[in-house]
Amino acid sequence: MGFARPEASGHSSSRLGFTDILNSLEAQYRLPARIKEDFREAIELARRFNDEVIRPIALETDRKVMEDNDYLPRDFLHKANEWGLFTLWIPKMYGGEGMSMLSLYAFIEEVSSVCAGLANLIGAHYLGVSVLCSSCNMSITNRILRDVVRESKMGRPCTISLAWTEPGAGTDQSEGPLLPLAKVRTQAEKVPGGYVVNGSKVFISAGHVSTWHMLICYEDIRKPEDNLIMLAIKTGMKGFTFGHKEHKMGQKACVASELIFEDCFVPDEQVCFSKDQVSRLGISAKEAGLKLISMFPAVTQPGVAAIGAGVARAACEAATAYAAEKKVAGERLIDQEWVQMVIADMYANAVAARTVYMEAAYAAGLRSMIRLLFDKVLFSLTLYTPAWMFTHLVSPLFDLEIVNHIYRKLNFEWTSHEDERHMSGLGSLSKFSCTDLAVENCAKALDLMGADGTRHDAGAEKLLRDAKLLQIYEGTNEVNRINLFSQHIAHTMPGVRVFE
Amino acid sequence: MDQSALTTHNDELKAFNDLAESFAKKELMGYVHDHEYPYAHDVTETIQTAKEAGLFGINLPLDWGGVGLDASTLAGIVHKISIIDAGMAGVLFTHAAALEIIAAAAESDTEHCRAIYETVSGPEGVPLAFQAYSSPAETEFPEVSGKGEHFLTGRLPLVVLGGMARYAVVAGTRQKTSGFSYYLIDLSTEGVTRSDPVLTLGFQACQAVDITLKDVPGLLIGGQGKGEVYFEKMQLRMSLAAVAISLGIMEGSFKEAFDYAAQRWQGGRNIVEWSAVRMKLAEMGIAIDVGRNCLAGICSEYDSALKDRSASAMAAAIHISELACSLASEGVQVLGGNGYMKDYGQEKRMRDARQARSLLGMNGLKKMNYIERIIEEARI
Repeated sequence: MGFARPEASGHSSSRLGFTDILNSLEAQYRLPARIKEDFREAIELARRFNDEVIRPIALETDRKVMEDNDYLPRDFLHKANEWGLFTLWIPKMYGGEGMSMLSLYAFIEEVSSVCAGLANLIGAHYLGVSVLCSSCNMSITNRILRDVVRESKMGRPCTISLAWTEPGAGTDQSEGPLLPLAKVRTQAEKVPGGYVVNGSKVFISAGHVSTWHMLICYEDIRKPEDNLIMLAIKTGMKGFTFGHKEHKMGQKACVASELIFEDCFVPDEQVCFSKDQVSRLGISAKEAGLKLISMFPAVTQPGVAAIGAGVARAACEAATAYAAEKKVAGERLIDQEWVQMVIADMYANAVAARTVYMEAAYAAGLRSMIRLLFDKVLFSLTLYTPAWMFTHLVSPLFDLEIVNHIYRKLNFEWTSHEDERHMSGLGSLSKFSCTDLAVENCAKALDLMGADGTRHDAGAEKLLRDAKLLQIYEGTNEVNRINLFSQHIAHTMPGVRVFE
Repeated sequence: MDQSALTTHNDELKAFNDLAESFAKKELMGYVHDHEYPYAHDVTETIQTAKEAGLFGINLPLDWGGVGLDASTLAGIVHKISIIDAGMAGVLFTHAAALEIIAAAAESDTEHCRAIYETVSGPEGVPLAFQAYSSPAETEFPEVSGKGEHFLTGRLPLVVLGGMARYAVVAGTRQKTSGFSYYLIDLSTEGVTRSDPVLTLGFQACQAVDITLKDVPGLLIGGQGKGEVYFEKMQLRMSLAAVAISLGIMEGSFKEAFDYAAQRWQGGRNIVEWSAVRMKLAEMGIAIDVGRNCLAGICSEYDSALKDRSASAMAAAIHISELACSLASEGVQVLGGNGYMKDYGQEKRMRDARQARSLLGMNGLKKMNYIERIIEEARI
């Protein structure tokens, strides 16, 4: 199967389209030029943050959690907060600094090249932010994100987690065709003034340290596909408690939490997405729910891919530094051709990973729910509009039903299936390919470094432990492969059965 | 799937396999994570039990109270133990590797090694510490001084079991002499400084320490400057055990993944019903069968003392350890998020597989040694 250009010639035998692989070309003229500057600033910021904050504590934090699984790196969260990292990429219209969301991917790659676990404490927050934004409930999004900004300015890190995975249902929930079969247990029962939630969530990244939790559950667990609901849960709410912290192999700095709901009452004002809210759209609640769970991974999976690219780079850098120092039988390893070839492969993997996640990021910038942020006119308006105008003049509009209705229509109804397929497939492609490359590079680094690479104090073995999780969370790489097949290949071949 | 990797050649081998299996089930199963950092359970108790069971004396000569068996018997034992806890197999491996250095020296100089055997066969001779994770080519040696005596000064990184052992077999070199030699040193001697246990990726039951020596007396093992010869002999013999450890990890991984797939429910059915999972399990199973045949083949070659067994054993150790790393990682994938958590055994197997790959040195160097042997043979 080739990568010819059917749209261009109209006579190609290829089933893959031109736009499947050239988002960067389209991005050159469609995205605002200022984004390049944001990238530069984000990378510089990340490198300073690495040197001053992450590098000095990365190994120590990892070891502390090994010794005490209850240890939470709250000092790091405060530092990250002082540096403004939890609000920098929140859109200006929601009170944040409004740095281009695309530059977040580059930032994540940089910080992950030093510690994927600490990087994920920041990344998981923006996963929560993305999921909240993808609910298309501008009113509650505005309230929560402004709460995040307000608390952050007061010196209190206020982050958001995504609470989705359940003990008996992980993959099932993230793939539309599997959702009807999912053994979900967390249910939100409608009661006057809100919902009562019962159930539990597991493997929730940064759960114990987050203030808000975007809870995806179901109004009727017997038919989850028709009853998806997203609720905003705040730490401290009655009926909501934290359970155990997982004993993970790696990314130890970023706690994986159990969240327990026992008759937890959630008021209507904290319902981000429900079938009632989308009932007036031209699509069914089921369709809107499935779009929601398909669209936000298209934005967040390139973020995981960026972590993969960062780890792939870190492994390459560790192996290169080691080879330059290490002498074997009196000769430096790095002077051996076979070693040079291994390092060249690792370098190529890191560059390929960056190229792939950026391609997916461009696709998200051009077609996803965040595409409006990159419209040149709106981007410029946002850039030069003072924050107070958003707070006092624009913010009140977010509470208007008509504004929310149009915004939902725009994202749930007027986003084409083609765009949805394109982004979902690219999100999966970037996620599994970049994270596989990360694991591959870590294995190569350890092979090259021998016993020295297995020492915790050398740092390389941590890279492998950290990288392995990337192949699992946000959908296992196996499921993401099938999703790519489904989105980019199967739809051109009628009769092909996927997830059946 | 049959858990037995080795064809039991004879009753004696079978008896030791059964002993190892029984030890693993009784002493290790259920305690595997207790032997991991930060060491909730004292590993020395389990090592003592293994000692009492006779598992450390397999390749110690009969004359010195050992069993006097060969590398293939040892392979059978570490294989059974690795299915449950490769870290403990690493302990046996390290001790046996140190004994093989002495055995290699004793082949040409039996009398000279008498004092060495006297020491290591005593009550404090088990376990012996040894740099089991590296080859001499990649290590800097302590310097040896003294006339007629041997005093070692320098640093020894990653001495496996160095934190708990009384004696260590270590390499050292004298100025103005070619090659290196092996020495037996008493780690309780003044001048020996041991670090805290070095936290390693895998084999955490098999703790290593960095050791600094300052004028520490050593007993020369075998001939001066013959270290490389002894290491190579040891490497050939211990490659069988290295393969067996990797194979044990593979079999443990398969069992964990298979059992999980048969129970875990996703998409309306047990995940073993998904063809993608079946394919993964099939590939794991095939790798194990290849590994078993490989191990059986090199054990057979070893037993029949074929001339080229050396290259085969090294090749097998390199290849099977690579398969084990890949397979253990795939095992984690089958278990998904659960595979990444310590509640299951798979994440440990993935770490242990990688540690096992570092046994007896860097793989790049092993590959270079392998081809050098082939080139030398071709020249002959």
